[in-house]
Amino acid sequence: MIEVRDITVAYPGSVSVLRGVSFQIRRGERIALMGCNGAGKTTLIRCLNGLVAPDSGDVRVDGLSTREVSGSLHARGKIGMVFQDPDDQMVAVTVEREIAFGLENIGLPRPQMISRVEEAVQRFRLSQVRGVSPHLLSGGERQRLALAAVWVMHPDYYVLDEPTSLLDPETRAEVFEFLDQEMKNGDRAFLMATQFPEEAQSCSRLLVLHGGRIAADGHPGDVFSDAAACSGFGLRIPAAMELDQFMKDQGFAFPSH
Amino acid sequence: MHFRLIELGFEYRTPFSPARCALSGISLEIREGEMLAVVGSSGSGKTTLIQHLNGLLEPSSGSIAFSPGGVEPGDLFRKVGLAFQFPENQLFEKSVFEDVAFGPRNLDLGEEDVEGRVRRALSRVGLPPETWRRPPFQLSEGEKRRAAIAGILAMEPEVLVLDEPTAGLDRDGSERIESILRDFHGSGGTVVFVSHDMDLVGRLSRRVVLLSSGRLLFDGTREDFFGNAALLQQSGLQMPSPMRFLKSLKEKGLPVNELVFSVEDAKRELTRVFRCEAGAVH
Repeated sequence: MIEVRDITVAYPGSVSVLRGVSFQIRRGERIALMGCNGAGKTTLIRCLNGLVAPDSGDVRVDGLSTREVSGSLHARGKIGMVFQDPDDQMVAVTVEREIAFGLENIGLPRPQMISRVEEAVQRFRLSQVRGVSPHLLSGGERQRLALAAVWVMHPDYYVLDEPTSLLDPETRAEVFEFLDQEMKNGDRAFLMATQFPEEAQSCSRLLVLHGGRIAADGHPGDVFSDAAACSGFGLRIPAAMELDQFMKDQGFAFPSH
Repeated sequence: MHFRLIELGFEYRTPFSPARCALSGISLEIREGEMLAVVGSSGSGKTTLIQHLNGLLEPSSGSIAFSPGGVEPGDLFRKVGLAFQFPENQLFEKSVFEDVAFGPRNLDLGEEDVEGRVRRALSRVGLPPETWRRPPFQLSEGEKRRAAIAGILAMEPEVLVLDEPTAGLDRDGSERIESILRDFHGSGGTVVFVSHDMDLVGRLSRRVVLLSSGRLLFDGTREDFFGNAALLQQSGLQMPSPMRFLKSLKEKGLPVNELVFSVEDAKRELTRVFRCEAGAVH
């Protein structure tokens, strides 16, 4: 479980980004995180594995506080992070080296490393480009590589910061299929920031950040059903829900719908 | 400005990697005043294609001609403004105003001209004067994106080319960018944009070009594109979400025309259909 306990964060010279945020991520949960630009989503995500230390409050991953060095290291081993722009996390000269980077850092013996990298190359359909520089890949390949480099570390929690904003619908669906597979045993969890309400609808829980606080937390269908509140948070609601509501409001009865 | 691409092909080559063919046999004309969306799955060559439009890439085979009268290669970057994905990553000056002024300052203009262009560009993207002296890094994500686009508009291009112009922006930020593009197009400019967001493509484009594995698979009106369910499925793309909603009603027997491109249009169409139905009953 990841426990976020009343955290606040302010960057120097600016107003508070997070003002008392608390929630828990339990294993088995599929959480969407929404909020307008500047609501604090990225900051919150960076707090989860200790990349940003909160000014007050605490984040605990499986009971260990990220304030302690040991807890922070634990968090980084347990949480796989994927960012919006995969370029931001590419460090190596080839696709294979990129996937191996994290494993090299934890000192995995070479034969095991080679077999894990091979598994990742196959699973994420990167064998054609294994020797290519990450910067020459297409947008979709790059995001698959970012996922591969995280997956190879066998994390328990996936935390993804708008990973689909540059992807085509098919690759977006692939990201969700991947997460579904990872969630199959119910012993992992993910939290994904997104601007697409349709993606949030396919999660089991939706958290909305607004003004540095959790403004809504519930089943996506319930959160979106309050259209006025969503509008106030600067969120789009799924077109299908908006049109469904419109038909109800107008008294357009269509029984088989 | 008019682009004519004839059998254009492009290969990425570096000393360290095997060559990768990104485009082949692309023949295409882009006329003045068009609002054109380039779509296709990741890796289909969209970004490579649009980088040819301002001369950033030169074709490995085939040709691209710019008319009227041909354009000096060194002039292309003035006439065709290109915004990369996340163009705000390229903001670097100490103030928004200076950042936007960077391009025009390289054009051999007087200071007064430069400042006039900067003010016009910042007003066009709706950044209020109180933000102009701020460091660009203090702006919100949406404002940064607009500042980056202002930097391109300040070059007073005839054509705007944008790669995923609304990616990562929230509702308000996206709507702002959409209205900037509509204004630019409305005042006679040509807009070419790449997007994976079919809702945006539906709302904004008039013509759609579909790439698949570096080849041109479709070139036609947005109505023909989104009306072709087989093509969409084959290329892994979707109809805009309001259209999907109406289509699901149609499949359940409601006599609705599903070819709509915005939630507002969908509401109008529903109102029309239910009024007709009510009329038929009475």
